[in-house]
Amino acid sequence: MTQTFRQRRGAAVLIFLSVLVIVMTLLGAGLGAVRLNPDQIIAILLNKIGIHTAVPYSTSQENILLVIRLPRVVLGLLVGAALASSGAAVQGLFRNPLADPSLIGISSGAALGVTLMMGLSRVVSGLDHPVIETVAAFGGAILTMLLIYRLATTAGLTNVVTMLLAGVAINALAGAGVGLLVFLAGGVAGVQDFAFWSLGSLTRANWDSVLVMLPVTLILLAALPFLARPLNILLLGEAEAGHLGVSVERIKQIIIVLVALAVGTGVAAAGVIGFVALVVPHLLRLTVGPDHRYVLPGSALAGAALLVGTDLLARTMMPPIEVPLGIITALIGGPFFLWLLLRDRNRGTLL
Amino acid sequence: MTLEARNLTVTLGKTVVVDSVSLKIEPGEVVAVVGANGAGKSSLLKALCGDIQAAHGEVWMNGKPLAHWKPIERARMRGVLPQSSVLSFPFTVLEIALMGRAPHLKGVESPHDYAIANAALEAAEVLHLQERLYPTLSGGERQRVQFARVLAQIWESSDEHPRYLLVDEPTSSLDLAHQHRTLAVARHFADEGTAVLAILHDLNLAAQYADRILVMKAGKSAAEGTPKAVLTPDIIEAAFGIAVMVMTHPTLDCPLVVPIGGDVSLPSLVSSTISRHN
Repeated sequence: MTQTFRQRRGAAVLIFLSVLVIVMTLLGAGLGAVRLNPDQIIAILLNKIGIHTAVPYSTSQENILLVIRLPRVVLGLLVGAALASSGAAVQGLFRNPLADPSLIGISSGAALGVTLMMGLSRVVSGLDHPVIETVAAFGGAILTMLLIYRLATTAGLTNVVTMLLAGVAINALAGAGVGLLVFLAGGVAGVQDFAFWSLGSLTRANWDSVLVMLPVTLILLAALPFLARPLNILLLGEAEAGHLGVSVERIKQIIIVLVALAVGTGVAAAGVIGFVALVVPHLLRLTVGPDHRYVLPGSALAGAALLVGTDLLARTMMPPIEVPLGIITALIGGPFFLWLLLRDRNRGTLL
Repeated sequence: MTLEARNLTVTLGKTVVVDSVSLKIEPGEVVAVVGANGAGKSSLLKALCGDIQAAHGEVWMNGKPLAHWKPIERARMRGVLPQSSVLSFPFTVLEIALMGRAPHLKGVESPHDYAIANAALEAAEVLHLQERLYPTLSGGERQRVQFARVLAQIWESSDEHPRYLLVDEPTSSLDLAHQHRTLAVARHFADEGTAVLAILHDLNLAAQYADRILVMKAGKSAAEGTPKAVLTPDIIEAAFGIAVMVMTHPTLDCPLVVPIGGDVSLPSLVSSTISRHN
């Protein structure tokens, strides 16, 4: 017997989630003020690469799909996959399921970086480019991540309380910084756009932002298979992982850089979307166990599906008004997480 | 082909916790390290396996300084069982034993790796817990599962290098039967050519299973030699501060240490209060 029950279930869950991603993609691309059927979506895409089909669709449908819906859905897939899988990686790194990039301040650090760059772009022209914003977000994310890791981890052991409290402090500080910059820029056009972004939203999605996010998510996804086993072993403790041949310091550096890159780019593209990185890996662990070989790819798939589904909800629940995405993820994620806390309180499995 | 500490000195902050200790562990033997709390046993083991840097002195493994071996090379020939392991994620017992196979894997675990993991679980008498989640186990069960993980790591001998097994108080949470079982397994590995270093508190376990014993006191090597040579009333009283009688084990050819209980006078609260007012 070389396959445990958990491994068979893990494989089944990954297949189910892959199907879910496809379904969500078709729904996200098809639903809205103008409706597109799945066959029309496929026909438009096939037409784009030169294969003509008999499925009828209008030019406006084609434009809506290619210019508005598709970049938004693709960005949602990429950001969701990046956020959820980097959440799972950070939780492995800190050996704690509560280490969520938005809870411990990595996202706020990235947001501060972006806001700083947005503020500077009013003075210096040419700074409001997606790539520059992404670099600033990455800088903010990696600085906060290193700070939290330094503060919360001594001799290879993470102090959860310090980690969460440091996160609270960093969130407050970064929030104050963002607030101050917005206040200074008050009255200037674009603030409302900014406010929308800071709550987390895919409204700024276009093919440019997709092109920035795509390589980052691909690098992260390509690295996951190599990180899964070391992360599993790292859960035993850093010294133990070293004795099992894991180059602990190198793995930690790789994870810190990858996560800062993914969270930073995600924040630059879609703002701070909380709870995805917390709830999704947690759900995965509940279904397939803590093995990162299933938790990491599963989180990527589930995060992608969740973000596209939530975005669909955000723009269709009260048309024509669009609700910021981060508000919905917080509305779903907050109570869900409280429920988890209550459920696991007596089992002591969270802390 | 040895693991060797040469004049090893370890400091934690400004405190010298290991003070120029030299020790050689050869394939085929069990070396026990004993000593009072805080005598520097765990620090010696950590320095020997490279977890902490020695302030002075060197650790050599198979004729090369320890630092010249890559982590993965060390992991293929040497298993280390730390004193306590924190793991709060709900892996099953089998999954943890399989982690011991990690240094040997090329790709995914083969049926052979599963067979070794199961054999190691059986050796540590936790095979029946195979499907249980680690966080739900008792302290002693966890310790045996971690022991099984380390056994799985060095289960097979490699052609080039001898195997090493370094265990820090492997019996601290175990019942009597499992204390002996654990050391008997370590002894068996030694008889198959593994070099074993075990930090132990129970002098009689050390007497029964070790070839040599290092007695540490205040970071220094207080005595080293065969159980018969080292486990004498004088050496034990000097190292542990307790009077003992040493007899011969009724059936085994090894010393049997019997502590002689002493009177205890607890500090008087009245006098200490008075002295503070003075």
